[in-house]
Amino acid sequence: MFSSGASEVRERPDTVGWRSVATAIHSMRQLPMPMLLTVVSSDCEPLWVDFSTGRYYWERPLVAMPERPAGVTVYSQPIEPGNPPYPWVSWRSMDPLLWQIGRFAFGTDRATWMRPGDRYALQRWPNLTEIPHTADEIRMIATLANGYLTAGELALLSATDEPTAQRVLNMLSLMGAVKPAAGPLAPPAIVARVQAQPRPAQPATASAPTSFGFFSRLRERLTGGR
Amino acid sequence: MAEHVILVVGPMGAGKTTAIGTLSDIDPVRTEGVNTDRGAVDKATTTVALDYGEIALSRSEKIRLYGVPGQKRFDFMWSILRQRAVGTIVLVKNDADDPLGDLIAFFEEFREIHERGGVVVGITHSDLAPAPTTAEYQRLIAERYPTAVAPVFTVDPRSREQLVVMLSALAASVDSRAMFLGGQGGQSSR
Repeated sequence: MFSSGASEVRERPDTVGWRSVATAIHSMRQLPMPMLLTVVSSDCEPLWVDFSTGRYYWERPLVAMPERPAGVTVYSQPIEPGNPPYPWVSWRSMDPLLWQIGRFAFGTDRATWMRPGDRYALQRWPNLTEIPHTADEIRMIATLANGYLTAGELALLSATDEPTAQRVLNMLSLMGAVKPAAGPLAPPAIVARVQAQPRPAQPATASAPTSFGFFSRLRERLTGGR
Repeated sequence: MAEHVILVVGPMGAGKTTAIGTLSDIDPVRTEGVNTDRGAVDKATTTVALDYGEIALSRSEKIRLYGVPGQKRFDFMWSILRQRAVGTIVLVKNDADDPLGDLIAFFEEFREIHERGGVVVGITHSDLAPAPTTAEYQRLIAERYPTAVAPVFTVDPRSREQLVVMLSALAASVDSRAMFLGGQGGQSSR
């Protein structure tokens, strides 16, 4: 069982809903010891996140997650190794939760732990069969699998806009699915090549990016372009 | 007529025949026979030659899906088909004796396609065996094949929606890899 001594419980006061939760989760992930995070909100059931097993428990389905929960307080406490908390509840894989929190926490602003101009590359694909996603998001994830990119470069290569790219980077970063470049890096050569191309009269849309022809035709046929 | 060949590979019982039937626009061509290896998989029939299905993207473009037999004795078919393939769906049965070993065996066979961003992994039967997790598969692939990040998803081969997600990830990977390879250089390799 996890330690329950009051002195070991750290309370993090609310700032703005999921933003404070996301920031707490990101900092918990950097810790070497396993932690349990408890999120209490005045309009939601308590949410438990177990970093020792990468799972969460919440009575509420994720589709009913409020975009702006009220009165959020975050508690954290260490877990005894090999003794996961609350074994009688149905824990679920953490990725869908983090994906959703990452979507709501910062909107299209940069996550608090990211810096302007940081470059990120994909280190693992999220399990997309268990999380709701858009065609744009698949395209951006695939693009990040090929090099370290800033949000602006990701937007350019994925035929989307920078705020949308920033939000996806926030979500993937919260999940630990992207890694930052260790030091300064030049942009991949493809960036300059795409920048040098003449701009289309209309902004590129999700349904007609020139570099994702096979993908776009497949999505159009199988999902109506969604 | 533009055509894209996609292979569906994996060990016996992983769901290759079912996946092709779920995705195909046409009645899939199925070639099954008696399973002579009931000790390995308790299934009365198994694929002994090719399964075949099609997805029409337009009147002039189609995807050809080939289900390739999982047994090693049919690996001569793999080498013929992989020369034409734009991508490969590797299905791994999570409740098998050594699912991680199965994955690596198939990955090794289709390594060249993986380098082009053309491999996506589907973990089946994860409802029966929750481990290994997708993270464990991803870690193993990253250790063995660090030059490209392969999508790894849990999948029910009866779910068209989930298979469409897999195909979409495969297509996006192939497109983006081609885009980057067309503009080589600029960053050190990952």
